Amino acid sequence: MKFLFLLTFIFFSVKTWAYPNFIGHGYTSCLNCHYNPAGNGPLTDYGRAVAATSISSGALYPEKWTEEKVAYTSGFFFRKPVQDHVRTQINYRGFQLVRNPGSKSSETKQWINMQADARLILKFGQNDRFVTIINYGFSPQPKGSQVDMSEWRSREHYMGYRFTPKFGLYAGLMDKAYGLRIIEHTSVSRTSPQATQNDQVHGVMAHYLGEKTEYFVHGFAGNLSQKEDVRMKGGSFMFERTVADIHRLGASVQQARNNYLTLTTWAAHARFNLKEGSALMGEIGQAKKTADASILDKTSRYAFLQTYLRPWRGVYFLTNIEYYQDDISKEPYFVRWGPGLQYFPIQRVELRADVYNTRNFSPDSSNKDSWMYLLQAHLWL
Amino acid sequence: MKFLISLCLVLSAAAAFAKPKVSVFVSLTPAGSFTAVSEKPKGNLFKSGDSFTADKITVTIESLKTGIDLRDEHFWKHLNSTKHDKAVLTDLKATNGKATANLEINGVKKPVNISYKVAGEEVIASFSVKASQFSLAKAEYLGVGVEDDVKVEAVLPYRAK
Repeated sequence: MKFLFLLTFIFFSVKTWAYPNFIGHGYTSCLNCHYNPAGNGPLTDYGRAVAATSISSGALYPEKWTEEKVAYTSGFFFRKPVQDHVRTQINYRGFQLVRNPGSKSSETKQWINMQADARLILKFGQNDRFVTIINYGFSPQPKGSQVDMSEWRSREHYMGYRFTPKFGLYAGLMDKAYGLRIIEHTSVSRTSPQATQNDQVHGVMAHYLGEKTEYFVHGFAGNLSQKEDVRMKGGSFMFERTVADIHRLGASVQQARNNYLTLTTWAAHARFNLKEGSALMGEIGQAKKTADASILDKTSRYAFLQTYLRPWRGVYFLTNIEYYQDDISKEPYFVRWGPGLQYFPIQRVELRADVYNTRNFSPDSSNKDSWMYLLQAHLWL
Repeated sequence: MKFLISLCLVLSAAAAFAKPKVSVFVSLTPAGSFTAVSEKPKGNLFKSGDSFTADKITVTIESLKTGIDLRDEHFWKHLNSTKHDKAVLTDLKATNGKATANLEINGVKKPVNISYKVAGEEVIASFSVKASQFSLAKAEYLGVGVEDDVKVEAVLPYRAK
């Protein structure tokens, strides 16, 4: 019976309400909307216009505003850019995290300033073929750290040049080209391969965009602001192929090492366009971590599935399901899942609520499920 | 339980009967694509033996929807919909999976070669055109453009002549 309800829900969702995000609007590649062809970081003018006219609700704009006007006021401080070469952006993201809600003994509440970035973009040439990106921002306290390690630092600084519309080279500090760059940076699909919020590296990335394929090769020397012995040096490769015109299948591999750790990872991912803005995304992968001193030799395995369903413009219903096995030679694993609601009342404002349930599975012990919820605000200018 | 199963079956059956539809597949540069869909093609497709004919099938340009309002406006404007409000396919003659017809867009008429297959009571036809052949200027918006080659797919019911 439960299965039938689930089936019915999925059936209705896909057939009648399926709307999501970017690939759901037909944007198979990140390059239309982001300066970084692998996504993340500053939006292009086109990306801001798409955010204003399709991702965000139009309900709060004055009635007499046309969509054209909405698009052109998506620029910095609601202004249409008056020149072609310089762009500035400011981003803030913070959230209230409540763990064990309702528990008299263990409920905790915490406001976290997750992101506060100021960005400068310089762009020149036909189709902005030469770009320089500088992204300076706040790095929050790492999870589990006892001392205050939050800091302001460069989150990205790189230059890119597209020799042809199909081929470009990018050099500097940027995210690794690896897997699905989802916004949920605590997801196991980002933390396990060390490709998450604070894992940017200095390196050179080559990008090839074919008619149906996209390739990224990224060689890196670690983050040069770190001490040399802990810099993760290595490379990653990511590949995506368009299937059935509107969906994407992809794969990634990575190897990196520092004086203490060797990391070897692979992942396969898929993005499905469910039409009208809705999408389904998933990634599975493994990460092998070996310490030279033989104190560590384990392989972790993860899976991630996310739905974006857009019932109407500006609103998305999300579901995240994650699986993580820290060591595949042992039995324990956990499953984290939860629904979320994302609302863009107007361009520059994202409000989001998520609930997460985590259940641990182990033959040797039994733990109560843990619950948490997040209330998130994301503002950008 | 029975009700739920029945509901799923009814909805599955309903989904199996596709509506008449014209889909225009547009590729973007540097990457990506979108599909403009109209569920309001007008005209009659007749079957006689193994052949199909149609005098005139029309699609109102502003019935084509891309999923983003602003993109709709740009698409219609690009196709010059205020001056030529319809795409018109005339003199369609089809047999053995191949068809010829004349397509008029933006006031320019060109012959097109069409492939098709029969699926139940409908014909699924597809063809490719170059936008530039119809005197349509190269489209670009905030650095994102469209490819000249455009694919069209039509699902049309037919009836005996």
